[in-house]
This record gives sequence, C-alpha cells and structure tokens, in this order.
Amino acid sequence: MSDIKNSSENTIEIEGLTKKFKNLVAVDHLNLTVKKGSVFGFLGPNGAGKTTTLRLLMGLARSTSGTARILGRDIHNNMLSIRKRIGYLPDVPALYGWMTAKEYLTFVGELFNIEQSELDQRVGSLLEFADLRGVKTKIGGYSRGMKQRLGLVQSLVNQPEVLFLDEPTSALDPIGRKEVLDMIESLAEETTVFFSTHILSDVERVCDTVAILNKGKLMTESNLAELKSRYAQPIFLMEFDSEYSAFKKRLQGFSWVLAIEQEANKLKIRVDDAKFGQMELPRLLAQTGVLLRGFEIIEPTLEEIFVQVVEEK
Amino acid sequence: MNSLKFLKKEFREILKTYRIWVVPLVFILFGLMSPVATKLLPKILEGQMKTQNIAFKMPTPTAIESFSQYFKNLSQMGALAVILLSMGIVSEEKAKGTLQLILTKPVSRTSVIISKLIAQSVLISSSVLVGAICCYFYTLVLFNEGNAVLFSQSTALYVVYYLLLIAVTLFFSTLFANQVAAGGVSLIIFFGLTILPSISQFMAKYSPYAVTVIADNILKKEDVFSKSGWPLLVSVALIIILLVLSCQVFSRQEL
Repeated sequence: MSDIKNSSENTIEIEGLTKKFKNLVAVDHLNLTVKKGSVFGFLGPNGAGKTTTLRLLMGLARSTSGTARILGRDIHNNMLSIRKRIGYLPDVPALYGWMTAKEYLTFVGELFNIEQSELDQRVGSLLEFADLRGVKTKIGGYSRGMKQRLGLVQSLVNQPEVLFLDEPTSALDPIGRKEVLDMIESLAEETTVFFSTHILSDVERVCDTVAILNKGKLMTESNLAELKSRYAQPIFLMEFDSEYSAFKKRLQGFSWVLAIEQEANKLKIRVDDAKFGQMELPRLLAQTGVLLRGFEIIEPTLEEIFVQVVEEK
Repeated sequence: MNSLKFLKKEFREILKTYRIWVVPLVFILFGLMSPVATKLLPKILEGQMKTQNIAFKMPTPTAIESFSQYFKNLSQMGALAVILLSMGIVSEEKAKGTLQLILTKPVSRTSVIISKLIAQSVLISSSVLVGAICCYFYTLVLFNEGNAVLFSQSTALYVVYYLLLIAVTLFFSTLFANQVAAGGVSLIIFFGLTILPSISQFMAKYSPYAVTVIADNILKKEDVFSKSGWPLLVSVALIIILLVLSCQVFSRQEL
C-alpha cells in the first residue's frame, strides 16, 4: 500500500489486487492506474475477471490480497465515503420493478442526502438525458434498453467524479448501444469513466486508455494510440495493374515479411517493421517491374491487437 | 439519516405491492374464521350424528372458546404464514440483485437489515392487530360476550412471539441466497420451538413458545399476564441476538 503514490492525477490506483475462489484465481495480482478525466476501457474476453474486479472496487466482494484506492482513499476502510463520490452501473442493472423511473432516481438521490429542490431538478434533467421523461410505466414493464438507460442515469444522480460501468452495452441492440455510448461520450468531459467491456468497437469509440485483462491477469495497459502503434504489425495493401506472381515469390524469401494474403489483384502483406516495409516494398516492386495501382498502409483494428496481446502472453 | 431513507423505501414497497393486501387479509381470515367455526362446529357435528341416529349434545360454545380457537390458528397456521411471508425479505433482493446496486450508494448494511426487520415487524404486527379486532368484534356479535382486556393481553404475547419468528426468518434470509432455503430452515427452527416446552419444566417456563400456552391460559383466567415475563424476556433477548447476528453475517457477505 505504501508503494501507491496518492497522486491527485490518478483517480483509481490498484495494486496487487487478487481474488481467489476455491479453484480459481479470478483476479490475479492486478496493478492498474486510471488517470483523472480519462475514459478507461477495461477489456477482456468473457470470464476474464472484469466483473469481479469491479465488484471488488465497489466493496461488494472482498479481495484475497492487494489493495486499491479510489479518489485517494483506500477501499477497505473508506467505502462509505468513497460511495458518495462515485457511480456504478452493473452489467444487469436490477432496479425496483414496482417504482417508476422518477421514483427510483428520487430514492437514489435521497440516499445521497441531496436537498429536495436540487434533487427534483437533477431527476428531471436525468430523465430527459435518458429519454424517459413522461414515461409513467413502472420499471417492471421497461424494455432492456430503457432499463440500461435508467441504470446509467441512476449512477449519475450524485454527479460522480468516477463512474464505473460494467459491460453497459453488451446486451443491447445496435440502437440501444448507440444511445448508451452517446451518453457515455457526453459524460467524458466531466467524469472519469472506468468502462468494462468485451466489445472492442465500443472501446475504440469512447475510450482513450485501455487495459486488457485475460484469465485474471493484466496483459497490457496503455493509451489507445500507443497500444496501436506498439502492437501494430502494419499491414500493407498493394493493388496491381499487371501480373504480380514474381513480386509475391520474391517477398516470400524475406524473413521480415510475416504473412502474405492474396485477394484477386491485391496482396495484403504483414511485416515486422513498418518503416522498413514502407521503404523496401516499393524498391522491390520496381525491381520486378510489376505495375502498381494502389499502395495503402492499413491500421490494425483493436480486435487484431486484442487477439495478438491475448495469444502472445 | 440514510437508514431512515431505506426504511422509508421498505414502507413504500409494502404500500405499493401485494403485501399491503395479502398480509392483513391472511390475519383477517383467521380473525373471522375462528368465531364462525367455533359457533357452527357443534351444530355441524350434531347434524351429522343425527343422520346416523346417534343422540349427541355438544355444550354451547363460548367466547373464550372462540378466542382460544383463534389463538390456536395463530400458533400454527399464523406462524407458518409469518415465516412464508418473511423468508424472502433479504434473500429475494439479493437474488434479484436490487440490493447490490443500492449497496454501492452510501447506505450501511446494518441499516438495511434493521430497516427490513422494522418494516416487516410493523406489517405483521399491524396485520395481527387488524385480525384480532375482527376476531374480537365478530365474537361479540356471535356470542354476545368477550373480555377485551384478556384478549388484548393474549394478542400482545402473540405479537412478541411473531416478532421472534420474523427475526429467525430474517437471519436465515440473510444467511442464504435462496428464499426457499431460508424458509425451510426457519420452519425447522419453528417446529423446534414448539417442541421445547414439552421437553422439561425449565423449557416450559422459559422457552419463547411458552407464551402461546400462557396466552390461552390468560383467556381461561388460569394464568395472569405477568406469568409471561420470562418467556417474553427470552424472546426479546433472542430477537436482539438474531438481529446482531444478521447484521454481522450481512456485513461480511459477498454480494
């Protein structure tokens, strides 16, 4: 614990956090730092330990070892005071079906001792934000998307400094997903968001920093752009105007060429060094006399990086 | 006071769900059934005997018998109803996940348990009271008699006994994630409690179930209310112990 520096720049600081069940290590010596104001993507396949980590951070489960600080406070001793300043949306938000959305948000606000007139105002704007204003139906009759939107705004009643979202879009249809992601994006300026998911396109859309978790272990943690450049094994897409088998044959002899994929009059070439490939490929092409129509460097997708990180480690 | 906010939610839940109708209805039924059954049973039996040409004369039923029948119903079916109506108070919310979300707000686990116990106790006690009023006045109508003081004293003893059953069920509802398991174990404890007074003189004097015997004796003027001092004291002590244990268990529980 003493090693953790209580930096005001860091909103979440996790050190050696471990959760063991009988025969399973769900979270394995996790070290993580989330900077203030970032939208942090906590990535991992199903069963990686994301939800367990969030439950540990929320005080719903107890860690086997290790510690964590949220807003500079140790979660083991200060959970009640931390909860005043954070928001949490579980993967399946279980809300009281006998309440209306307005009643639920008011109840949550009362738990934070928000003054009545202020609370009325916040509840009104949150209902607007969730597109639930005027909905008089009880929560029990809501669609999954409506529940998820209400689940998200209930986590905002106290205007949290940190927002923990557990797979907020995983069970939603494309429209519901877009709505929830739009809401998260609009929050990003004021709130630090810790966002667990296995949907990589969601991360690419809203997150600036990413950690990849697999089998309870942290695989990597980085700025999204850095991660892309670090794990990127660039792919060059070359389109030809003439017969190119000689060029392909030539490439196969080099160790820096990792893979070649052929698609009609195109070649997808994966190399181990982007800059070297960028210089060498046109030179070799000129030597073989093949006519080039197009030359493009393809950015790796997060999916490709994710698979690479998980497989590599 | 966040504990009061959660208690307020508990009462609102009672008012907005089936519980506000079902629980009082159960005890109103007991309250109305007992005087009718006491009044009609001799006539039904005599009628049946007459068809078999057997001369049979039952003694005329009294208000005391009506009250006694009511308390007999409370000691068995009423107690079962209390357990069945209470077995989900914590475990149901845990299983649904509604408590997990609320417990990520500034709410202490102790306040959740205390709120649950208070709300359920108020609901059951007031339902017993409504049922008792029905029983008393219906007995007055059918039998033209009834000692309100003695009946109230016996009712009060049952309320304390039910509070103990609620505390037992609350404990197991907190301990288990499944409300059927909570209800099952609470029923076993209930049957154990009913057997205790017959085990020894000591148990007959001090065990909580003794209040049901004393309640019946008060009606027949064979005992006075002050005789229930020890079992009442033991019941209250057990309620406090079970409440503390429930809070302890819940505070260490992973949700």
